[in-house]
Amino acid sequence: MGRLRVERVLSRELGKRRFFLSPPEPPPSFLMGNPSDSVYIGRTKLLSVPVCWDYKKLTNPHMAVIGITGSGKSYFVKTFLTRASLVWGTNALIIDWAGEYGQWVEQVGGRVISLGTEGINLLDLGGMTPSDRIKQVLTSFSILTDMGKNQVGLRFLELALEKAYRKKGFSLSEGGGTEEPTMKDVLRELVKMEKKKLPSRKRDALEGAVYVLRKFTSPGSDHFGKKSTIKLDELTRSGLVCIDLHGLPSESMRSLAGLTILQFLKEKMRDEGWRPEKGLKLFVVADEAWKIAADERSDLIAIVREGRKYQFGLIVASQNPTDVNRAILSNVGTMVIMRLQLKEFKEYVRGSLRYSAFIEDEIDRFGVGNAAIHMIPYAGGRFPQTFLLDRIDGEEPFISLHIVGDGMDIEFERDDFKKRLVRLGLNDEQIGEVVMEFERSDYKLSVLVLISLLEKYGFAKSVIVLFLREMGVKEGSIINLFSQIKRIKMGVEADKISTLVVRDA
Amino acid sequence: MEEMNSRNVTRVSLLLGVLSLGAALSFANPIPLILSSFFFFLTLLLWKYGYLIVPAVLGMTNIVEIREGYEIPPSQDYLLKKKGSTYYASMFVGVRIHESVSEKSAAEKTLFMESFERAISGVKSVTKFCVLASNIPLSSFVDEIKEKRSLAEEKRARLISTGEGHKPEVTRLEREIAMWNKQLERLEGGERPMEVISYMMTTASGATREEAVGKARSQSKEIRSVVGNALNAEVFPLTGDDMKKCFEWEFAIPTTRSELLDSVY
Repeated sequence: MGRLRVERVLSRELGKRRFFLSPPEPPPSFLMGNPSDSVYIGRTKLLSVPVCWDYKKLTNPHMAVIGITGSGKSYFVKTFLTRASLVWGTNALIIDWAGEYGQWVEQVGGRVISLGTEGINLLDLGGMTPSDRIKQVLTSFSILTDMGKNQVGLRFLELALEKAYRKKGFSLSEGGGTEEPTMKDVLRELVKMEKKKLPSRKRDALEGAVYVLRKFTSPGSDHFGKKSTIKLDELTRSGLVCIDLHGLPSESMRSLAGLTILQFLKEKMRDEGWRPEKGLKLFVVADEAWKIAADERSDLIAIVREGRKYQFGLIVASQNPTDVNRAILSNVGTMVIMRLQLKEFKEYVRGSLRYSAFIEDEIDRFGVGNAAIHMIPYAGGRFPQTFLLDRIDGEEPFISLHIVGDGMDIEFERDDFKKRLVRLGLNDEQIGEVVMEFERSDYKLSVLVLISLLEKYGFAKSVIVLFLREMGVKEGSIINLFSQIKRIKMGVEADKISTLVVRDA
Repeated sequence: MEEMNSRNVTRVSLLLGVLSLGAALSFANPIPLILSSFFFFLTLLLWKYGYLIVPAVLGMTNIVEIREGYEIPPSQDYLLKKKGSTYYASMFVGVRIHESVSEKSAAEKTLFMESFERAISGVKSVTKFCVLASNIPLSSFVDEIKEKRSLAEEKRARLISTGEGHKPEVTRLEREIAMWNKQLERLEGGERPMEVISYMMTTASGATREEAVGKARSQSKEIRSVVGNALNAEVFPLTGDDMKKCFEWEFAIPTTRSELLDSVY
């Protein structure tokens, strides 16, 4: 027989409750939409409603994806782009800083361009006039080098650029020439200027400009000083294209390439013009492009502000939300927040989106693949704009690997864990063996087995310790684990050890 | 009485098709053959678009849906019951509230409760306030996916039959088919999507059908205006399946797993 307990409840207590309630999620009519004209990304956490991303319901098609490494950012972007290309036939151009998209792009039939082996001529006009292109090149140099502080040096560079174009038969305001000059031609002009008699202040500024230009034109670093081997014009309509920048020798080279591509895309976007019909022609993806995403002079901001009317979408992914300019964060129609570690990052994101303490608590508990989505509806609406997604429902099965033992359970996304092994120095065969060990044990591998494997591959104890620390294993556990391995190797039972000393040989 | 829903109408149409075909084979007469073709075509049409066709036909032909103890008119906006010599008409009103208690401070919650008190103080007729968590119907959502998958399959088959020249497009279509299949699998598996509906029901009585319905309509209008203003929420009349969900469990309770699988594949 059941029992009922009757309690006295004061009306003021009752008043704090709400009878008419709804979990903090947008209505199904907003989330579900038409599955054949939207991109499915997963289900909501509270009511399991399928979430179909439809740019037509949002203020714009731009997106920011924020989360620590291994939280599933790239996995989300890959899934999203795959489905967008299958549903709408949308092209995508990925500016890949870390070289993590190349393999996937090849697998799905896209095209990978490695800028370490192929080159872009910074002075290609791509439909612009030389004077416009000169302004863009100067902006790139002032963002990426110390030349921002060297206004006289920038002026020398401007003069040299103008001379280089003129010598190739171009009119600065109208174009007209047949073959664009290269940065080597510009350097030659600067060197000629150096030979003239100049006051010492100007000479210093000129030498500064020559020094910067030499860095981008010297043998081995002249990726921007030669004729272009790729046709940027074709890339915006070639399906899925990844421009792999990780082969370039320095961060400033990668940023220069990224900025140049964005400048070209912005011009291309404006050139193609506004179209009355709705559609989405191209997604531009900038993953971990912190240097170009943070600067307000970057063309990423122009694409965010103007992209919607030209049917261009932008996806910016970053580990650190403060690396993304506020103009981007405040203008994107969709923000995907994944696992965040640092308090300041969480506060920054919450301050920008103003979601509730409930959502913040949930973000604190996020695992791999969990996400909070913030969408700004085109037509407005009195419903929560930030809601929780149970898990990114990706194209490939989302496989989490767990490293267990000594009271720990550390979770990694499979591809992210593989990347960590690559960084550690394992070859393909060894990585395959480690992953197979995970598969054999239902994706939960004892940390002792992992350490044994790494020892077998010849890694020094100090390297393994560093690797374990990087993965988040606590100091106490590391000592304990090596003790256990030593004991196992010596064939001694745990209760028979009185003292065990572990030394790094 | 067996419910007149699109599934049952489709079954009847299929049965008539089979019977006509049997008759055509037995009597070697062209009329049953024509009839069987018609019914098979109708079956296909109802199977695909029954959820649109059947309610429209019921509405146009003024067919009154009679359920246990009450009836629903073609307009599907109220239900009527007769007890003794009195008619009782009930109407349903949805209240769209998407604010959540978990996102509000104690002060905001109290404020909302005060608004709610003001709302119920303003209501002068018999009204029931309810919150219903029910399943979201997925049939049209699933139909859209199946249609896209069929189109991709058809195109792929056509390209394969024309020769080897379209390999990249065939591969792309295979990826698309796999994507739709995965989406269907995921809809079939896991928890059923739910929605939360806040609604009000108001009932009026009268000596005649028209009197009861007239009173219920005016009560419905009154509570829409009073509650809408007090709660600052969107309030709207519920009709058709949205209305039935509020009092018939088969519209709100999860369908069985087999029914779900049946709708997906």
